[in-house]
Amino acid sequence: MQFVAAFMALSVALTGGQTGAPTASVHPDVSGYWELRYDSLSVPAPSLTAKAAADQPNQRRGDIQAVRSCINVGVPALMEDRAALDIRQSPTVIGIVAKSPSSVRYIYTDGRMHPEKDEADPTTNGHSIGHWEGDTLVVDTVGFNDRGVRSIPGGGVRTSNSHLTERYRLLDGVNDCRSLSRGTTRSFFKNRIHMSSGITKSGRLANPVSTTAILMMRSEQKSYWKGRTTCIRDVNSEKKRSLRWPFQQSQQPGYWVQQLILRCGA
Amino acid sequence: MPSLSIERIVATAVIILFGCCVLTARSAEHDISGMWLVQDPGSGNFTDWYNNVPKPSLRPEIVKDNEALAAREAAGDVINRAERLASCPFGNLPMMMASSPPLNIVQSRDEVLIGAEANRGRFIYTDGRSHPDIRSADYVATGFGHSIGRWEGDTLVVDTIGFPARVCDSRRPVMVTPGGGRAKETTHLIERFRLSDDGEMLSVTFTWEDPTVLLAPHTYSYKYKRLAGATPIENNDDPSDPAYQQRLLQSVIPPPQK
Repeated sequence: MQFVAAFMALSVALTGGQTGAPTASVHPDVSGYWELRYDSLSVPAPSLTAKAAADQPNQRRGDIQAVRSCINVGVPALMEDRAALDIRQSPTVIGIVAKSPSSVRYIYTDGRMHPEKDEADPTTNGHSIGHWEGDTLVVDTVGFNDRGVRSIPGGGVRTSNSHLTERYRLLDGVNDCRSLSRGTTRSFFKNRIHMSSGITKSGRLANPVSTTAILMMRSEQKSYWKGRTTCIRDVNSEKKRSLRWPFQQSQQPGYWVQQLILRCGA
Repeated sequence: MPSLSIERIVATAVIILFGCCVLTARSAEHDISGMWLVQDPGSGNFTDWYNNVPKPSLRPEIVKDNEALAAREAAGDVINRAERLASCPFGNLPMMMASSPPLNIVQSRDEVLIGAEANRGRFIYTDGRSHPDIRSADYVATGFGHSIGRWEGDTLVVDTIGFPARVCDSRRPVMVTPGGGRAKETTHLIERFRLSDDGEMLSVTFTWEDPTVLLAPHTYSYKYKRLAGATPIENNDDPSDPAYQQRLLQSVIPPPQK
């Protein structure tokens, strides 16, 4: 048995104890396609400043113009895309791609800090850094610009002063599907989105002000974005034209449900 | 014949497990995640850089088409005025891989994501899937095609097909590859990604195959330098911005370099 023990020791030494994919043995791997659950946008209203509340109609018009112009939607609209998100995790960075017009979102997990404000180039996605707290990925984002779809679910607006904290955690689910929960707090205090967050079931508050969680189902679809929307930058019409996507209207006015959600676990 | 002892069976199992561990660890050793800046040896402008590759053997009709494109652009007609339709594919793989904004690569367990400054990402599936039927009506072609990859030792070999026949690029109606070739529905691309020993340089060798375009496969290589700690900028083009509209109507032909 000494022979066996020696081989096992050599195996561990050469592989660093790793027996799976690069990230799987250290942290949960959130890689995959993730579809928003139909009830995930049932978001409690945040406490807005009077100015922010009064500016909501203008903000909505700005968002509509951004969509028509095919400007990158940015965070948080990117995370609420009705089509599946493609999330890819490496040991040092996580990439998130949405179907909506948007840049790839990167979350750096290599230990770096946010850049200094005078060195940062604000973007619609902001600058995101993440670290693991047990099985939870905690993501901190600053450095937004004032472009794209800036509305925050439930109310409020993303500004250049916004600070977003997200907590990602894989949950046990049914039918071999796993869920990804994301908690955000959107309290709008004097032009600043103040954060403290917790994970809870969809629609329930972990924070007395306005914390929510967004549940996403892991998608097994192999043909990513089949029949995808193509956003056309047409300087003449400034209209967005798109291919048809299998949507159906939900019971909740203003929200749409992607039929492919029903394929989870198939 | 000697009998199989429990010790021998266990030893055999451990050896097999050891081999699997080493093979699995290999992908972790060669993580190409990060920001990568293509190394231009000093071409002067993008057009020269784009064509700074070994000359491809083009079919006569492609040479003729290139001459027509050049003549049109020399006459000042530098805008592709084809209507922008919903069927217009997005993305341009050869342009993306040659462009000056750094590539942002995220290598996950079963997919490699490559993003660039401008909008969307390119996907390389490494989960063992095969290509879809690109002749099927269900297949939606993009300028990135459909890419599948596998590791051969320390090299990621990527196979791409399924490019669109036409594009709605702001300059040309076809996707031109470096040196004057084409990427289209009949094109097959093989890329070989390999890290340098110190992990600071990434080499990508491209081999284009298309008997309707090339008389022989066209191969060239790029080198990319790792940018540690860098973050990408964002394309802020706004079609509703009059300045952007004006830029679209301006010449993209660079002036002669002195």
